[in-house]
Amino acid sequence: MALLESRGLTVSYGGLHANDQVDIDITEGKLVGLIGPNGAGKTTFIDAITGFTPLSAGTVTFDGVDLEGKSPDERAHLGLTRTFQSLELFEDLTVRDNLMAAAEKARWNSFITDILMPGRGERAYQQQVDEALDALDLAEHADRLPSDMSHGQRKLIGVARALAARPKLVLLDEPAAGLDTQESQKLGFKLREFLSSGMSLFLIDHDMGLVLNVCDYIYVLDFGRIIAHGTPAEVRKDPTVIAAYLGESAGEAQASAGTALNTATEEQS
Amino acid sequence: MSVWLVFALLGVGTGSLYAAFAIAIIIVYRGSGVVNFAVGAMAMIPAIVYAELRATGDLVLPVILLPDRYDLGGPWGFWPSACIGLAVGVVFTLVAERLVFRRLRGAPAVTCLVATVGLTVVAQGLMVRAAGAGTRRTPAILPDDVIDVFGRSFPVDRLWITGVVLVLGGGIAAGYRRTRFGIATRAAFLNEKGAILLGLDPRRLGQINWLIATLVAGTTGILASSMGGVSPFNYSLYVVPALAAVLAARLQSVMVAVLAGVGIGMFEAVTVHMVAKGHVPNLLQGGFSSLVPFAVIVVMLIVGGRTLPDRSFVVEPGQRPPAAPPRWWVWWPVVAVMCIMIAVGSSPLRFALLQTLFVSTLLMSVVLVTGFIGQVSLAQLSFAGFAAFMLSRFDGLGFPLAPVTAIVLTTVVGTLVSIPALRVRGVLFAIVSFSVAVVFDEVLYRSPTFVGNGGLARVAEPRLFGVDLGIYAGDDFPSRRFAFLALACCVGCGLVLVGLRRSGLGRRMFAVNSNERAAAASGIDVPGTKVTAAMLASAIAAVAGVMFAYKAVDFTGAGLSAQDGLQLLALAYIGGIGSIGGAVIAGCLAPSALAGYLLTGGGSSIEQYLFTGIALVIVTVAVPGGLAGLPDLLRRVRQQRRSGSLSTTAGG
Repeated sequence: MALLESRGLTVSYGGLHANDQVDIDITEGKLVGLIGPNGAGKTTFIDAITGFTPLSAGTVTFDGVDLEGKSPDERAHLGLTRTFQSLELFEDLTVRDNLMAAAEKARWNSFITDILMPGRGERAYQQQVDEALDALDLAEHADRLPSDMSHGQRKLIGVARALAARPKLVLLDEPAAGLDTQESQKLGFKLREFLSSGMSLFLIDHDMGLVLNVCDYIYVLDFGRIIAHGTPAEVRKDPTVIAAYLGESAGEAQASAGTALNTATEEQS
Repeated sequence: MSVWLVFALLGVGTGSLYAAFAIAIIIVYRGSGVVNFAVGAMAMIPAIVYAELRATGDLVLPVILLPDRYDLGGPWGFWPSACIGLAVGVVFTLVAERLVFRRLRGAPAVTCLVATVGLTVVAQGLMVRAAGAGTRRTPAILPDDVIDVFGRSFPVDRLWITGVVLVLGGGIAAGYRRTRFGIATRAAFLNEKGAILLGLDPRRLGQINWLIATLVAGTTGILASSMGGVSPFNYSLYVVPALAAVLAARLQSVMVAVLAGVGIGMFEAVTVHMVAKGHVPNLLQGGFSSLVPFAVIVVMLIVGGRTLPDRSFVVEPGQRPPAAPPRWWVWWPVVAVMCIMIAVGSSPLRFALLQTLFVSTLLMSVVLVTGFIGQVSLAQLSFAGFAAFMLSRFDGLGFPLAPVTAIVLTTVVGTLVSIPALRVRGVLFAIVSFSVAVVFDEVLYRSPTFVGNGGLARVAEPRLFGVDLGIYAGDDFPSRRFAFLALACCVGCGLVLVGLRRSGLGRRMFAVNSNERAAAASGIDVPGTKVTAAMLASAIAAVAGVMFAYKAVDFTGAGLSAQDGLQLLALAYIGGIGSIGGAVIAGCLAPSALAGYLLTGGGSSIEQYLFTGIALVIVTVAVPGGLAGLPDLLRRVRQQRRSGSLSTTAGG
């Protein structure tokens, strides 16, 4: 059984099906990608899985638990975290506190212990936060405010925050948008590293080079429906995908760019 | 049946006032994005100017530093008085728009709201200085015959004013839909940048909308002065029902707001009749009718609200989280000085200090809800008042138990009240909390069951192990023991906040304040965190309320009203909302507190009230962090100047 399974997942706004009967499996320890043109319903899918948008029909199970009726924070506690396309950082907290807020698990009595003995029980989470900071090369910026940092670094803070709670599965919503090719490549390497530490990843992105390069398995979404899925090699050849998404010629150019990048990174490593 | 109908009809007069204020609020909101608490004051200025001209022929002006009363000879007629009244109102609005709201474009909506609170205080203070605080009635303007409805006499002017407001509303609704100006206003409201690109000037549009709103409010104010009379304060009380009507119209449709306003007025009149008939339990006899707008507001917000803002939600720039708490070398000397004041200070000094301690403690609860979790609450003073009355109710339990019961009960009530408010945020939260304050004010503090006979509550002196800790203990009033006790409570609440700021809970509160969606995605229980904050804040407010009760010994609802709550929020902003130091500074600045005693020899006056309003407006415009944020602001300005000079030398 896969770590996360969506079955018949449908999200409707009025008569419009933003997601229509979407079945997706995210296998443990794998990096699964979801691609699709703008407005295909990719972010809606992440919103639906993480509890930000109610389902109209269908089920989602995570780690054997049915997610129906669970709030976003409860899902996060189960080990399902996400990043946002628009970052949504805690702008008034330092980078370290951004991660600390996500790492700490509050219990019902925390407010009493927190007031009587502030700082106690924090040490347990410090290490987790330091690891996440190191993993994304943010350690030296730990005490700065996110608003003082570059766009690329802010993207990394978003990813680090999702990692800080040691989740089982991280859903990444366009982590490479706005990054240059080099930064995007570097992010790709990092993502593969996280997999080896026992985490699973789900990636949405426009950067075809990144998606085709780093994912183990890819789903293709168009007008809210899954139109194809398979390994990167299979998806790249799939005629429906080429017609619907990559486009006849432009798509080939992009796909070959992806291949070029593939070889380039292989050479590098 | 017909009796109810007559009472409902009687309510259309007041309802029309609500409707007219609602129109003015919507116009300003659509024109400049400001939720205008000052609409009552905008109606009051023309009405009082008009009333003075009709009665004495003197022109009174809301000004300082200039003479505010000019003899224009003999009482004047309706038209010249009304025109001059409206002109004065227009000039006042123009000045306020130019000096305040134009600079606040793009500021958080809550800051704009607080600025309108400041403007209300300024207008009230100026008019009290110029014309006195009394209520005046003017001669009838509209036909005031009495007709017969279902065998009861009915004043026909109620129907006339309703007609005027309906025509006004219809005309304005049509005007905003049809004219170029109306369409431009809507365009600028929906997309300011786009409007600028089209060659529209949103600032100019905003200004004209402020003027239209002033004319609407002023005309209604003048008309109403002949019916219920006008004082510097009474129109401001109509703001809550007007806001209820505005929310019913979702801050958009003028006609819906008009109908809702009239409807609320009718329901209020019916509930007044219910009270008179004894259909209402004793507990609620005080101001049952004020529950009507409250119910409308709560239902509208809960139906329309969302537990988490969605993707399209425009994140209002929130309150900045509090600056780091003052260092120990600032903190402890302040406490030491207070100890010395208690030990050797004179009696008036100690009394002023007690006032400072009460206000500081109360404002610490405001710091918690506003600074930590980012919700501007106008209800904290009401929770303090609740605790004070609870203390007098359960006084028989003896010292440690009675205040503990009062604090626990207040905490429970404060927590319960916070639950429906989970779905609202920003400026809407401020509106809900203000309507909560009005309900406490009107219903509880006047309820015979709750307050006791004649509204006068009393508490016995606190006594522990046979030692009298009360304010009258010993022969030196106020007693030093009591002052030390109050200081200990205040410092205790301060320490709770300091601890909270360093804790994980504090961090979660800041995270919720900063971005609710991200907080939820990060595993933070957003509603739970908000409720915890409300719980702690009402507990701290309750401590302040207990302090208030023991300080006053005999007390009524005076000093605990919704209006006092507005002034308190003003103080909190001046001191620095959201910082512990700010709460203490504001405590010193409060009426009859330390600053007043040291500078003017004590007492509170209209000048102080006015000064608070002016200071509030200045702070919202120029010093967002308040006085406690001044050092930070200066440091940043200096840094900027230094880096600026560096870059110029580098460039040269």
